[in-house]
Amino acid sequence: MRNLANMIQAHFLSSLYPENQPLVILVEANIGKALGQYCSKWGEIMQNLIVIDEVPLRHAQFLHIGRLHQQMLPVSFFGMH
Amino acid sequence: MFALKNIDEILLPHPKEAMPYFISLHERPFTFRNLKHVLGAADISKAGDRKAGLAANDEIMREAARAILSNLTLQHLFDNVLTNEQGQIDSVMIVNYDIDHAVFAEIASLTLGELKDHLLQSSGTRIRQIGTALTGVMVAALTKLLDVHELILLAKKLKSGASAKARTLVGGPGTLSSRLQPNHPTDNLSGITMLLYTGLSMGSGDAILGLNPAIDTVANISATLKHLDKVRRETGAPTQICVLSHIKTQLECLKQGVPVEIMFQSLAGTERTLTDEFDVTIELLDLAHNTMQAKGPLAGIAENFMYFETGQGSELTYNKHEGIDMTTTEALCYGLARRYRPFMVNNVTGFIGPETHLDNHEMMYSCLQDHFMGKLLGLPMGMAPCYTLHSQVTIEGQQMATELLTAAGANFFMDVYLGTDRMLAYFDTSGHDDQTLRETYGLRPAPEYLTWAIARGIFVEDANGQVQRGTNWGNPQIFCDSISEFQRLQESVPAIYGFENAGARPANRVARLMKTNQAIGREAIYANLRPTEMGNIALRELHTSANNKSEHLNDPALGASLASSVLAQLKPEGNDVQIVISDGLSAEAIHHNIPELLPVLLDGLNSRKLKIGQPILAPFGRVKLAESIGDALQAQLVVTLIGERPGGDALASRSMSAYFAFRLSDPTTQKTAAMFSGNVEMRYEYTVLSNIYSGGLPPIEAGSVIAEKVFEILQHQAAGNRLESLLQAH
Repeated sequence: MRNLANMIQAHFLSSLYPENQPLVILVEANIGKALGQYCSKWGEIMQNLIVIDEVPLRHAQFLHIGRLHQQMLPVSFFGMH
Repeated sequence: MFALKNIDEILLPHPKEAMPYFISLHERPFTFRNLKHVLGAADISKAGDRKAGLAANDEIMREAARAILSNLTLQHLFDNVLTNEQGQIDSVMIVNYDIDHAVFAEIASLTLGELKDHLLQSSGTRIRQIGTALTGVMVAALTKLLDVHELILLAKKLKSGASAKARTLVGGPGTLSSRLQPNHPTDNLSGITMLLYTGLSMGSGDAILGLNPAIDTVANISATLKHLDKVRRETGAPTQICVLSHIKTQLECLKQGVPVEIMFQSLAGTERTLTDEFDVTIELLDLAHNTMQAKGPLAGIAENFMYFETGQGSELTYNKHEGIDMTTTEALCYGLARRYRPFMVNNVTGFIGPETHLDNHEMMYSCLQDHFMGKLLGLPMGMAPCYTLHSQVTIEGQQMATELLTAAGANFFMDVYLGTDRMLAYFDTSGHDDQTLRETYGLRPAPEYLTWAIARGIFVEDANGQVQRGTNWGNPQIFCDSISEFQRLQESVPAIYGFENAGARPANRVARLMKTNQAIGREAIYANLRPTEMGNIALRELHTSANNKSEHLNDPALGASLASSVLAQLKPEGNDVQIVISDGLSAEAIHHNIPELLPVLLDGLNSRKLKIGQPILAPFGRVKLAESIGDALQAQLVVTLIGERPGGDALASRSMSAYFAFRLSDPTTQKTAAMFSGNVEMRYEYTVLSNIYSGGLPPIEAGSVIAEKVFEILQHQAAGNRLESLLQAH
């Protein structure tokens, strides 16, 4: 996880990543807080990072993230097979 | 609507110097130091009373104590009030003296022996009337003179008149109700839904849909209450809902408009346990009751609003029993509960473990005593005869207890699917058990609920008026829109071994899977810690006062302190955080979680440059070990990572908890905490995070969650309910 977080940090902080653009990471496992903390160096950097965990992954062109409701975030996938 | 009596208006005796009691039986003399010792010795021998030095040494001594009790008048018991260690009448005892003095005047001169004979010759109405004139101590004393048949017979006579009303009328003659308990290790709403659908399809939940939450925060309790409300409305089941969080959390939820239909709280029979350990005072209970009666969602519909849980031994577990035996402190709980005319009182004897009830005999007898005592004090008693895997109580003993309690007229049992609680790691009655008992004893659910269940095909009423299982009984799919929805819900619940039934019982394949998982869990209790399986982080190993597994399991106090030789060598270190790792009741939980969790936790703590003591490994430890270590090392916060007692399925025997013990070393903070809790002697505040294992909160994620909680506690200089209150205010 430390290695993965370092890679994400490096990409986020590089000139290739648009400034002020939020980064949303979806993960299937229940590791959202841990991954978010490692990526953000425990809250020091990457304030625009959102990690959503326990999401069954699938291919999509874009996705819609709804409002937090009862500790759940509704996530809808859009795309064509 | 009824008004609570002003505490100052309760007529109390003046405390007297404790007097000894003498008797000679067949030329063998007996001396009992005081009334507390007579009461303790008069009971059957139970683990908790043995540990407290209150149980009789042998059967003759027990009969000597019973002979003394038989000749004491009720007036004597009234006058010789049991005081706390400071010689004062505590608040729980004061409430117990709120009795009907006109009725008491009629019976005050009766000895307990005469009272027993009188009750056995009386009708239910007369017995109930006499109950209004008795304190908890009187009821406990009487109970120690009763045999099994008498405990059942007298309780059965009290069945009529022991009902209580919310949306449904629970406890009427000819009924057996249930609390549907959809506990889930992470409060997963899909999992809760699955368990609700399953229970409702088995005709369960007419008493209440009642969830024990894994996380006691206002946000989570609000979310789960709203969800229970949604399921209740969608299914149309006429019942009521409750999430069994702390009373302060529920009051806050109620203030925010969340449907707190029935207010829950655990009770204790001594003020010190109630206040110091449960963080509750009489004033707070009064506030909760009055708020529910005036502003609760069922105001104007229900007649009763409170739900209490009790169980013999909690006062003893905390060593705050004031020298009083388990049965008597339990009766004192009922004398307290009576003040609020509750909707439900549920007795959970067997939940604590072998330190209070070692085996089936002790558990079964206590259940019968408790049910009778509660009913005599006018309470709508339900029962949850249950067991944990670290005791010698088994499913067979638990099932025998439910049969006896049904014969005695218990108002309700629990419905925990397949008897396996997936969050609390214990074993209780199931919907299968409840239906089996209804069929065996010819009983029905509450009338409003039965009408609904017949309409849903869950029950049918035949031409002779007999209620039978309908075609939809035990089929949770009737509440799902599609098979895929059913499958999705099913995947979110651990320890679901199948839905096949054989009549009112689970099919043999399902029963075998359940019992096998239970056997594996029991085995995990006896595994020892293996220091080589803790990962690569260096630990210092310190020993508790428990020398071996047997001492550890049967006497929790030993695991709550470091050995004196170890303590003598420790010096204050003054760190911000001290991590302690202990097997608790599952060494396997430590082996499976610590190697992944500890590095993440330490990374998190180091990121804030906190001063951290070298993590400690303490075999045979208990939660309160944190205080022994915190005092010795002068750490600000002790985080104890400890194995939970195995339960649920085989995987859940790897479940661990994190306890955060915040040491109130700063006088100002201590004063604030004491004011918040009402406990002036408070030394530590606790927060807990449970169900850490791959099937609940996975260890890597848990490491991060624990670190965040440490940051919150240190930032706000608070833990427990006070921390949640501060976080809510922000």
